Amino acid sequence: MSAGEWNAIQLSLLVAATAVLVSLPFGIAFGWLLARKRFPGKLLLETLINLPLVLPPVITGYLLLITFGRRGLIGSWLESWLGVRLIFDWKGAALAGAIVAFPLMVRAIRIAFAAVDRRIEQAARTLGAGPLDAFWTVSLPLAFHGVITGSVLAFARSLGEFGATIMIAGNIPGETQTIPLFVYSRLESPGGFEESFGIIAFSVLISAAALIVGEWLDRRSGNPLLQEPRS
Amino acid sequence: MSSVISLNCRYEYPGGFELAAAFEMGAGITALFGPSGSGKTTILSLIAGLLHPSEGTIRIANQTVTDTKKKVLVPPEQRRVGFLFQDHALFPHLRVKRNIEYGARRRSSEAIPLKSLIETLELRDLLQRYPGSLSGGQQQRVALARALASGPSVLLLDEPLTSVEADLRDRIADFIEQVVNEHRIPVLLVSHNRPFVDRLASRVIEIENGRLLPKAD
Repeated sequence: MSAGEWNAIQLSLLVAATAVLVSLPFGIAFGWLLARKRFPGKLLLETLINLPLVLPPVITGYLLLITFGRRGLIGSWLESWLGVRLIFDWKGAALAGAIVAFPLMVRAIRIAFAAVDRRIEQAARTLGAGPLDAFWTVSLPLAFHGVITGSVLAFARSLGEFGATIMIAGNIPGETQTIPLFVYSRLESPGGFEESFGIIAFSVLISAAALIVGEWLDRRSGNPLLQEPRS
Repeated sequence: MSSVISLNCRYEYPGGFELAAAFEMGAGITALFGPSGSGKTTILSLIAGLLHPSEGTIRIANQTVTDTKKKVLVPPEQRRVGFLFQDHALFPHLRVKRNIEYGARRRSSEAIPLKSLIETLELRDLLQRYPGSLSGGQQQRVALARALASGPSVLLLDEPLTSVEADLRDRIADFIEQVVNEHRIPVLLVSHNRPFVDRLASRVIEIENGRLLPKAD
């Protein structure tokens, strides 16, 4: 594989991993909130979270661009106060990946929290655990398989993100050119179709490996308890 | 009678049904007896702080834990109430030992020694098992140990025979009697099983359709 291909692969892995790590705390918080609480504006919040799932990624990218661009509401603040620039930077690609994959992450985590028996959480409270303690020691471990599933889905989705990424981060070889962008650029050049086989195969392998590892972790963390014989 | 629990509450269910109850209970075992759906479990949940009354007051061991007028609402973790749930509600991801230690670790100062509970409830061989691998009777004993290990000032038992095999019911009653006598913990027991209530309780409060029946003693 060429240096350009390796760059694209490494960058994609970095972007997808960052997207998952940065969005995971929010994914857990929103997943729990939507599963456990009733509050005014819940439907609106659900719609906002799920919007990237149905919006064309290019539109999502455009919205990110006007929000996180140098003159955007958040982008200008990030640059002037923290010196962080997201536009035409791999961090912008990670943001795009995180936003587009967020609905999948939240959905998996929400389902897992909703499946946790409230009585078990209440039992923890009667045994002296405060709300946060009960969350860390009971709710989260019991919903952990959902956290893993959500993370893997988000990782795989971020890995394949194209439209929003190209809008906010551009297509700069070695800097923001992830696997999909690399393949897109190569396919536009003569002979690119055949030359792309290697990286396409690698991309399929990474995505499949992520799903297999996720499934394996899910099974391990999900129910080791049910595998013991009943006496 | 020095009262361990003093309750005077009204609770409105979402469907329109209303529970209104007022009683005091002291040491020993008191039973709330009545048919399913009469509001027994709701009373336990109100005492434990898992539900909030629409109106009223609750005192546990001379401490006001609920007073809707004064906006007092002590959270469940500060009430020192041991709750044995109908379906046990054991932590499926923790081994039996960790289940029992859960409350004891958080309320170490007044906890009952674990060793004595493990002996009394015959749990030694189960300590390394997960709840999912235990029978109903075994789970019940673990849940009882877990509730007691946190050193509660009162023990609430919600239908403790429901998920126990028929041939084990007498043994569970023995266990309850034994730990209560050994550790002198007041118990409020909820059941719709009259022989069980008559065997264990020194006082019976009858409830029907969300109302306590008069002269229940």
